[in-house]
This record gives sequence, C-alpha cells and structure tokens, in this order.
Amino acid sequence: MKTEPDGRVTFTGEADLPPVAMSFASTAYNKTGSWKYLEPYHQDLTPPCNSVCLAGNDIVNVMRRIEAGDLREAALLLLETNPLPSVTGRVCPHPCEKPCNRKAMGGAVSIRALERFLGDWAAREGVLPSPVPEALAPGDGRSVAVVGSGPAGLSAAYFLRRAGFSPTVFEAARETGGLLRYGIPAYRLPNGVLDLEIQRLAGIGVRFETGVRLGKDFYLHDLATRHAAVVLAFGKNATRGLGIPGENLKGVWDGIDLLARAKAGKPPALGGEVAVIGGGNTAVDCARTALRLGGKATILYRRTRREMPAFKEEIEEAIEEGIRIEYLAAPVSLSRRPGGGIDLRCVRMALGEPDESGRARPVAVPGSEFTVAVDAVVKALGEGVDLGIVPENLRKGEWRVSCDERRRTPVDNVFACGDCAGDEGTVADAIRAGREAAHAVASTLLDRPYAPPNLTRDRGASAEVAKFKRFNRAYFREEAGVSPSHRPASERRADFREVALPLGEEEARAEAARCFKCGTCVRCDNCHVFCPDMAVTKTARGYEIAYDYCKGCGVCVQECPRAAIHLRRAP
Amino acid sequence: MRPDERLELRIHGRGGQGAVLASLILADAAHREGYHVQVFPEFGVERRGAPVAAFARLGRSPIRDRTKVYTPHHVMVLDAALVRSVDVTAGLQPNGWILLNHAGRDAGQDGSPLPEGPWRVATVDATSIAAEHGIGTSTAPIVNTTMAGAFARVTALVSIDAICDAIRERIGAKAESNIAGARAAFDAVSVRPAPTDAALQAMYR
Amino acid sequence: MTAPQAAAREGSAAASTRILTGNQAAAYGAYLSQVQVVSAYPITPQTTVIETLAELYRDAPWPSRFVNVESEHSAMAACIGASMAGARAFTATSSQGLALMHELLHWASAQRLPLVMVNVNRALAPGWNIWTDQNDSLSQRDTGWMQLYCESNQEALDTVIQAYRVAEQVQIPIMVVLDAFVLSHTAEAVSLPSPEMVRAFLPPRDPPFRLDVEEPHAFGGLLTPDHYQEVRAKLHRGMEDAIPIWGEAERSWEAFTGRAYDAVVPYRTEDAEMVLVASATVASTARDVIDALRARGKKVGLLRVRLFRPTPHDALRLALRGIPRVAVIDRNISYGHHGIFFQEIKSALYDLPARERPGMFGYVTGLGGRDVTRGVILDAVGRTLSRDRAEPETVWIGRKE
Repeated sequence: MKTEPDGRVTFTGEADLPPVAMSFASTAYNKTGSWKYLEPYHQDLTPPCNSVCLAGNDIVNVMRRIEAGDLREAALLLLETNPLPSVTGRVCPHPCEKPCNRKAMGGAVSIRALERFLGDWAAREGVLPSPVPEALAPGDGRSVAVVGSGPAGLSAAYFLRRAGFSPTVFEAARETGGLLRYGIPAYRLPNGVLDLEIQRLAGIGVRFETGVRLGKDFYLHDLATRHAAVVLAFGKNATRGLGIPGENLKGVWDGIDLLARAKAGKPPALGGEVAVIGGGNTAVDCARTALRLGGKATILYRRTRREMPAFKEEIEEAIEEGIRIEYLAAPVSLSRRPGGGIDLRCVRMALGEPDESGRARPVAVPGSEFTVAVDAVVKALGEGVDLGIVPENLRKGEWRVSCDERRRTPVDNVFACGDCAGDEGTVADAIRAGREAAHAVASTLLDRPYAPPNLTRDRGASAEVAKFKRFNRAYFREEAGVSPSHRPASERRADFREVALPLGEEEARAEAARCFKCGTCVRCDNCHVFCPDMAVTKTARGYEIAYDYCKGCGVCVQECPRAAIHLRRAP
Repeated sequence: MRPDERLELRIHGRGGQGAVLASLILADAAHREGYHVQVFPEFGVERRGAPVAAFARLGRSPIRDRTKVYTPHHVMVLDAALVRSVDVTAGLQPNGWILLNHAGRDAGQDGSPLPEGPWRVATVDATSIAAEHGIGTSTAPIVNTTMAGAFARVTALVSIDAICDAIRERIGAKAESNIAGARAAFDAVSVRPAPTDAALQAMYR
Repeated sequence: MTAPQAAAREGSAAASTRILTGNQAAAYGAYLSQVQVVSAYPITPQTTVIETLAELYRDAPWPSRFVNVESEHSAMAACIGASMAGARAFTATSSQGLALMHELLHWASAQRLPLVMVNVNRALAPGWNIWTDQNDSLSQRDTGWMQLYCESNQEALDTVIQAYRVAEQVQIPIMVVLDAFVLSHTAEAVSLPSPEMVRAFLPPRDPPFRLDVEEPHAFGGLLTPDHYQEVRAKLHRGMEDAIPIWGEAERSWEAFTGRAYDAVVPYRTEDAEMVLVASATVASTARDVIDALRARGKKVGLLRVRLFRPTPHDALRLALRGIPRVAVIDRNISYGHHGIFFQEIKSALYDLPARERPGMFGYVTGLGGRDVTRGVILDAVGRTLSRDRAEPETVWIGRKE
C-alpha cells in the first residue's frame, strides 16, 4: 500500500490489499471539476406573477410565509411594496394570476384573495411596516407635501415616510381616500377596510389635512415655500360630458357623483329603467349601484363586449346580477318625455378601422336611430383632470400635469404621480407611481444619483421570467385551488355588502402551498442532496458550489423543481 | 428395559388443552428418573380446538431415532370425546394402555366407545379433579397435569414424585394446585381390567 | 424466568441439563455467546428461536439490542450494520425468509462479517409447506457463508457457540442449520455450559476493521476489475483456512465440555463394504439402521457430513477412499441434476486413484417433511448392495409409486 503525492492510495498486489472493499484515503485528490464544460449556478428568476405586478409585490416569498403560517412575516414583506393590501386584495384586476404557472396543474393560485386575506389580517392585528423610521435618517424628517389622498398620494406619502421624510397629505374632500372612498362601491371596497389602511399610514407618522383644496384654499406656491418638496397626486376631478342635447335634464346623473353619494350612504332616489352610458368600470359600477338602489339598469356601450375597458370579472358579475348591456349603441339626444321620464334617442353603431387606442372605431349606421323610454340616465363616459388648479406651466395638453420620467414637473422640487400625471390605470399602478415619486423626491433632496427603482433586481432575481417548461414536474402534482366564493347574485343585488367572501386561514395556507415558488430557491436541498460529487454545500445564505469538484453533470439543474439553478459554459 | 429398547407414547388432545406441555412434563419426569427422552408435537400447524397430538420416546440409551412415532406403546387421551373423531388406537401396541380422561368408571358405557382390541383401558375424571383444584377456568379446566399424575399410576414408568417435580419446574405459577391435582388423579384412576404385576413386567421386562 | 434462563444468567459454574427444543437450544447458544444485537423476523418453524431470545434479552446484563424489523431482508441488514460497528450479531430464519435475505447474504460474506445465523430447514413454496428439507439453505451454497448441519439439540447449542469463535477468527459468516420440527420443535435433554466456560472458549469480538468515527473508512465502495478478483480470492482462502480452524475449535470445545462433532463424522466405517452418507437428523436415525445391519453381519457404515461449506475435501477423501460403494441420501434436490450432497461428494472423490474411487449411489428422499424412516434408509442400503453399478438417473426413495 502506497500513498501517492496527490494523496491517492495504491496497492502493489494481492498481499497488501484489504480483505474487503474499503477506502484508505479521501477522494478529495480527484478534482472532478476539471472534467466539466458546463457549470451550474444558483440564480433566482422573476416569477411570472411578479413580472406583471405593478405594485411590485414579492408574491412568491409572501406565499412561502403564508404557507408556513408565518403571517406576520408575510404581512411585513407585503407591506414593503404595498401600503394598501386590503384594497388591492379586493379591487386589483390581478394580472398576476393570468401568467401563473400553476394554471396548468389545477388552476392559477388565487393571489388576490390571498392578498386580501393577509391585508385584512395585518389590519386586524395592527401590523406596522418594520422598521418604522423613528430616527428619520436619511430623509431627516424633512417635510413633503402630497396633494391628493387617492392611492397614488397615499403610496407616495407612505414611501416618503419610510424613507425618513415627514409627509403631509392634503385632501380637498372631507375624508381621505379619493377614488377609493368615493369611486369604488362598497360591495367591492367597504369604507371600513380603507379606514384601517389609512390608519396604518397615520400610525407610521403620515399627516393628513382634509377639506382643503389646491387652487382654492392654498396654491402650489404656498406648498413649495413651506415644504422641501411637493408631490402632486390628485386624480380625475372632472366628468366628461356627453356633448349631446339634453344632457343636463333632471333625471340625468353624473356617474362619479352617483357612486360618491351611494358610498356616503346618501344615494339619490333612483328607480325604474336606468340607462348607463359608457363601458368602463365606472359604467359597470354605476349600473350595479343603480340595481342595488332598486332600478332596472341597462348599459349602453358603443362598441362590443370585447372592447369594453371594464374589468372582465366586473362585467361578468354585473351580468350575473341581471344587468343588460346594449352593445353597439350610442346616445344621440335626450329629451323630456311627456308624462315623466326621459326619451333617450340612440343610434346603432358598427365597428370600423382601429383608432389610435387600437380598438375598432365605432361608426354610426345611418338611419338606425331608435328611442328608448327611461326613467333616469347615468353619464359614465369617463373622467378627466381639471388642470385649472395648477399654474399654466405645469399643464401638458388638456388633461395632464407635465412631468418627466423622473416625475419632475417644470417647477423645482415639485413632482407628480397618479391619474393627474397620466398614470391612468389600476390601484396597483397608482401604488407604483407613488413609490416612484417618493424615490424621485428622495434622490433629489438627498442629492443622490437617480436610478429607476427595480424591485426584482433588489431582490437578487434576474429579469428572466421563470417558465413552467423548465420546471421538474415530478415534484408537483395536480391540485385544484380554492376558488374564492361569491355571495349568490340574487342575494347581493339587494344590498351593498361585499360580493366576494374572504378566505379562512387554513384555506389560505393550503392555497399558498399550491404556489410553485417559480424560479425561487426555497432551500429544498435537492441540489445538495443529488449532487453525485457532494460539491453543493449549504451555507447560511443558501448554497455554495465547489467548482473544483462539480463536474458539470447538471443533475442539480435537473432536480431543481423550480428552475432556480442554471447551466452556463464553464470558463 | 434393555439399553436399545424404546418406549413410545402418544398424547391426544385439542389445540390449547396442553398436550405438548403434558409431553414435556412426562419428558422432564422421565429425565429425572434417568431415562433418555425425546418429545415432539405433531409436526405442523396447530389450531386452537382442533385435534392435536404429541409424542414421547423414552429409552435407557441416547435416542438417535428421529422418525415419527407410528406404533406407540401407550396412549393418553385428554378429552374422551376425541375418541369419536380420532382413531386413538392407531398403531397401538398389544397390551398397551389407553388412559382416558372420562367421568364414567367404565368407558364402554357412556357414548364414547372404544374399539375392542388387545389393549387395556384406564379412566380418570381429570376434568372434575382439575376443576376442584382450580386448574384452568371452571368452564375450561386444564387437565394435562392431572392426566400426567394418572399416567404415572397406570404405566408405572415414572414416579408420581418425579411428575410433581417436573410440574414444579415447568409451571411457575400455581404449581402447587397442579401438583395436588396430579396426586389426586394418581389416586383416582381406575383400570379395566386391572393390570397384573406379571403383565407389567412382561411389558417392561 | 424459567429455570434454564436463570441458570444461564446466574453463571453457575456447573453445567446444567434441561429439556429444551432445538430452537430453544440454538437461542441459548446465541445468548451464552453474549451476542449484542439480535434482529430477526418470525417465520414458522424458526419463531421460537426469536421468542426465546426476546425473553432472554428483555434484561440481558450486557449492552445489547433486540431490533424489531419488518422483513428478513431488514433483519440481515440490521445485523450487517451492527456487525460493521463491531457488535456480535445474530439472526435466525427459514425457507422463504432466507430466500428473501439472499442479496444481503453476499453483502455479509464479502464484507467479511462474522455473523451467525440459525436457519431452520423448511421446504420452499409454492405449495406452502412448513416442513423440513434442505433446499432453502443449499440454495445459498455460493453466497460465501459457511454451513453446518446439526443432528441434535445439544449440537445446535454447541455449534452456535463454536461458530462465533470460528467466524470471528476467519471473518466469515456462518449458517447453523436445523431440521424443521424434527429438531426445531423436538425437546430432549441439553446440557447448558456455564457462561464462564463459554467466555473462556469465546473471547470478545475484536474486529480488524469496523465503522468507527475516530478512524473513518468508506466500506463497500467500487471494487474494479483491477482488484475484485484478488479480494474474492481472499474470501475463498478464508473458507479454506476455516477447516483447520474449525478443527481447533472442536478440540478446545472438547476440552471444556467433552463434546466434539468435527466436519465429517464416520460411524462404524472400519472394514465397511458400503458407506451411507447422510446429514442432519437423517444421519442420526441412520446410526440405528447401521447398528441393526451390523448386528446382522452386514459390513456397512455411516459418514455424517456436518460441515457442508467449506467442503472438507481431505476429510471426505480420507473417510471414503477405497470404500467399494458409497450411497448418499439427500433431503434436497438440484432440479435437473442430482441431490446436492451427492454431487459435492462425488466431485470431492473424483481425484482419488481409480482403484480407491468408490462407486457412487445417490438417493433423494424426505422432501417437504416426508419422514425418512428406518425403512427408507434400509431401502437405500438394500438398493446399493444389490447393484454393481449406480443407476444413472436420480433415484427417489420413500416416494409413493
């Protein structure tokens, strides 16, 4: 028996062989890593849900914590990116569920329902984001004014506060929340839910002043002199007119006004045949509100269902509840009908060439006019921004505050976000915009080089989206999910209580467990266990690959259930 | 008994009645009296309640014969009702004893008739004796120890003292009531016809 | 605690004699060898071996474990693990259970682990049969285990103890084989050696290598064509060495107890014109037959083969050279060939000079528990003596025509 210089043990013949197969030296001399032409590396990918979430929520890691029953940690992680989880958990059109890889094996994970579950839990428990910036560095407590308390303003204030600033939110209405409070019916978002979310902001030191209106009670100049920076985050504050004769008749209602009055518990008397004109969420909300107030609602839309901008599930729920939609019809004029009521004169439309929005342009069909007798008409064609409240040099066109990609307006230290800045979109989009504005304020006031926020990169994930075809399906089985249940249509048309029912904790944990955790290393140890050369070792932060011994066989990549390990050409 | 002579016994019982233990008690007792012994159960699967048998082979020299017992010198029957379903006299040698656990003094009179043949019959009401001594339960008395006592009396192969010593070794708990039962059976056994000393001597030489 | 248990535990210097079944005797053999790990799975007719051990090990006074498992395969695996760690380990099985162990039997021998296993010879299914024949153990002929076939309960006890001594000297596992029922369930007088005596005969195990965190080795790894043959040659040589070492163990045991058995046991073979070869309990009954024939002036003898593996070639040749007729009774069969003892012995004698080479007669009988009576044995003798030459085909005796 001889020990070679490299540590190997060799035998000269039968005499010095042991009686059994046994080792006399470590196999460490054998640097199997020299054989490889490929090498593995750990790299988290962007989960598909995450790739489309405008709020930038770290959905997969929130799921992991819910699954583990660690609700507080889950809530804290969600609050890192989303100041209003109970709100988005109800009203977000959940684009995240559309590309969910779980879809192929039992249906997409009900991410929105889980967000609602977690947001409500956090609100109930009074969870505050952590750490609360008590010392106030690095924003150093400098004061920032935020105009508007809709989702964009709330988001900007939240992230400013977390960056160490002292934001004050100015709201023209008597109560905070903007569109969330006045524009979304209670059956989708009860005010109590919103109140708890805003309480959380107050809890970390965001100040609110209500009943004060820019352009009336104070001017931009006042704010700019009193605060280190100003963030304009007001929303749509003017309803578009129909532009047809008779639109101001008695019995013709403004849609936003109708929703606000209903939400405030002081709805107008609305009954009989109600025609709602429009195809967006406001139109659908108005129709469903009219229905709940005792009316018989019909939506008039000039294109077809395919072009309707309202959320698909809202349309479906409306139809379930018995709302009729008259497609390819546009109002021409309104007139008072003898004996009460309104004659609504309409014209048939046909779809023509696509317009600048990409949708087919509706064209009136000559001679197709018809008249409907109704008791009320609701105008819900869309809203615009009244720019009269800001100086002229801040206006861009008819409907937008002018700002660049860093959200700077032409006035120093004045920033803009939300609907007024053209971020026309969902609550999640407003949250993103608010975060961007806060980020821009911070980099300007702290004189830091500006880089656009990139949550995916900050989490260490690559921009590549994790695809199901790269997963090892042996580790997953078909599993049906919970479908968040809805109250029956017959019951919900009678009141303003919430349509969708909440998940219980057990349900939520089971549903979160269905999440594949796409492209995200969950420390399952498969790479460590399967490596035939024991080249993958566990560390406090994850795994380390000993490239001296990794021979590039790719077993770890093959056995990674969720594509968090990849192969590249070895150097 | 010549050194190369063998004496073979067969015990009939039902699974659970203790036929095997009866054979072991006889073996222990015989071993104490200087015999070489070999005992074994019927080879195979035992089922509670089913007819079973156990065997013993005795001699004055080491026993090398390891075949089954085909022609026993004596037979012990732990339950007289077995006589109806099992041929308890199969292979039984002429002049051999059949010791029956039976209530009647004359085994011929009570519905469990024995085939006529050149053997001798002894009976003992072991069931009653065992019950009186609290051996087993009152509904299912265990008769193997009492029958061993009766066997000593009938065959005179081993002494009742050796039987009692063997019982003491094999049965830890309740040995004394079993011993009392064995002694009672030793005294109570009745034979038909009574063996003569000459006959016994002819048998055992 | 029964009296023999108490005697075995108390360590009274004097040997005590008890009426024990073969299975109980084998279990006492393991207990008196101070086995540290017992792992076994019950199977008729082996069950009472482990029942007895379970009772004995309930509070054995030395560090020990009785490992319950869910199969014979696991039982052998547990014994291998225990033995690798340096413990003295024991198991027992029978028939289908032994067949299930087959793969691991190779592991135990090629890893040179001195296990001792009692196998109660039982016929293999199908048709279920719980009675004795030797096909189960002989099917394991080439697994590298030594095999010894016992003919009495005393021998079963003694052989287990002897087996540990030899196994630990040559690092080869040993199978001690008992006939189902004929030994396993038959009670006879057995002399229990005192624990002191057994300790003096059998020193504590001192393995040349073992699993040891202080001195780590990887065992059972890759053994390439470069080395495999050499390592296997060592196992073969270990088997050959075991024959004289077994002899030494017999002499030592004889000095302690007055009892010896040896690898092959001749009986009245002097001047014999015909020698009957048999193993296990058939050999025991055959002695009575030989005595009866000798009494009638027939020049016949018996050779009992106790050690089947390693094959005691020299002893077989010495015992049978120049005997005109040798008749082997096999309670087993290698289908399509012959009885297995027959072919082994024939092979061992082939190298004898032609004039000393016996005429070989082979008889198969007693399969599946069929009683091998004196009549059957007499038939083998009669057929052999009445023919000048062996019948070429396998001859069945004691078979219903």
